[in-house]
Amino acid sequence: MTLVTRFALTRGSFELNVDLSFNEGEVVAIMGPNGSGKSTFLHAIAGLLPVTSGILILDGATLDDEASDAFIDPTQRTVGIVFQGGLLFETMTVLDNIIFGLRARKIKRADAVTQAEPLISQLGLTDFLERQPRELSGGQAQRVAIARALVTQPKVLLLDEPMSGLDTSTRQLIREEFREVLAGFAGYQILVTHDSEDAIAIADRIIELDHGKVIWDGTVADYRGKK
Amino acid sequence: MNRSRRHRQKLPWQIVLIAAVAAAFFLAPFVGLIWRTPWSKFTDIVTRREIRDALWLSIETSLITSVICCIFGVPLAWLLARVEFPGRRFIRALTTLSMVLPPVVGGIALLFTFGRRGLIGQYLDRWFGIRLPFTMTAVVMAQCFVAMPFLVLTVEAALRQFDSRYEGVARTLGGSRWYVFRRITLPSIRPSLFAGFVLAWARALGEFGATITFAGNLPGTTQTMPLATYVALDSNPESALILSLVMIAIAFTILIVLRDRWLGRTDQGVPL
Repeated sequence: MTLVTRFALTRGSFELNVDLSFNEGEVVAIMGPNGSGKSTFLHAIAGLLPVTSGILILDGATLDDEASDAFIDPTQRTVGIVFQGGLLFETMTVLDNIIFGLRARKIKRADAVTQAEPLISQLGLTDFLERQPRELSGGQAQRVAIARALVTQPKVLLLDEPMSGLDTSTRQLIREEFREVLAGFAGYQILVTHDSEDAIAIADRIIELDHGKVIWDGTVADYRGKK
Repeated sequence: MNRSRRHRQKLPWQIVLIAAVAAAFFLAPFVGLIWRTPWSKFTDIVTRREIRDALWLSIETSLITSVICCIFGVPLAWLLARVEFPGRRFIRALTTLSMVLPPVVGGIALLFTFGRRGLIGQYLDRWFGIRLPFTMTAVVMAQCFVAMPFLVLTVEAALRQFDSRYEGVARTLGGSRWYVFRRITLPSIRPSLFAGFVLAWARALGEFGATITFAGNLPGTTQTMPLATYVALDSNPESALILSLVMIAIAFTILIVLRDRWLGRTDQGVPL
């Protein structure tokens, strides 16, 4: 099974142009400077931006195809996304953040809580459920964001700079946790980062973007050699 | 202590002097008003029938106006902030126009649109027998015309500041646009929504030009507080003073409510 991303996406004067495919279970880090198109790439996969031309295919199903005017709504894509800082919904408790995806699918609250239970304990969030997001540390918020993204059992997990803005010691800790969580996740995993240490620590494969184009694509071992 | 004394010495006296004149200019009229207010007649005047009617009408219409502004203004603000569509800039300019337009012009425009021979008014009259001018509905329409921009611009600014990636995350989690708007967007901008509501309400409460032009000045039906105050100035200046005082009290309450609860404190700068 593969995720095929062969598309161009234009925003103003910027154009992202990629032809990449991803394998299930593979952890891929996308690297590149600011404005290289890393985040735009994730937005396109999540369906938050439509492609300008080309196709996006997940496990044989077309997500976005400009030529045939096919576009699957983000709500139907089975894609989970985690942003820098977690971007937790500030007006809800931690628990309501985690079960948001289940509630949005009209699952009763009690059932949603039961369903989220294993994930909550796996991520060690049992004691934080009634807290407000602003009361959490950076690392805790990031864990809640992961739980929120995984609760709907997505096929694709997108991580947009999840470790930026954390201090060095937290970063080490979160890196370990990420490795653990990602190892238990069977789907596609794409991590955007501008930090090569993060990429090397977590990923199997590294892709470098610059000015909207792929300038490097290879294994972590090759990337280390290159450096 | 030491630190603040040093700062005080550095204050440029020219600026302080000019600023003091400006501040005095704002303060003096209130002092003048309070000084001339016939306090002994306060309750007598405030409880008079036509004054009570005007006060009640003002409160009633301005509250209806604020609610209508929210119902129609929030979706408009959302469209302006979140959706790129042709003519967006034109619509935003249009929304702002009634803010900078003399209200009396707005009133004339409303009259020639919704009046009995107006563009829309003639059909309302012919088909449904509805005549808007000189009714309470007209008062509300005139108020909406001048007040809604305050709500739209406040809410639009809040939406622009609100990171749209929150909505993106919620969408990938399966939330429909409407669900996300209700559960994520609206709760997050609630303080600004409230501020916009209060600003629109204050503007509606003070509305004069558009109201008197489009809705007229019928005691009990369209004569709001500002109109009653203006009329009273001719016939009974003491009433005008007391009515003004009531409106100042209302305005002050609005400011205090806004400042302490929603706009956040702005106490910063050089300590004296």
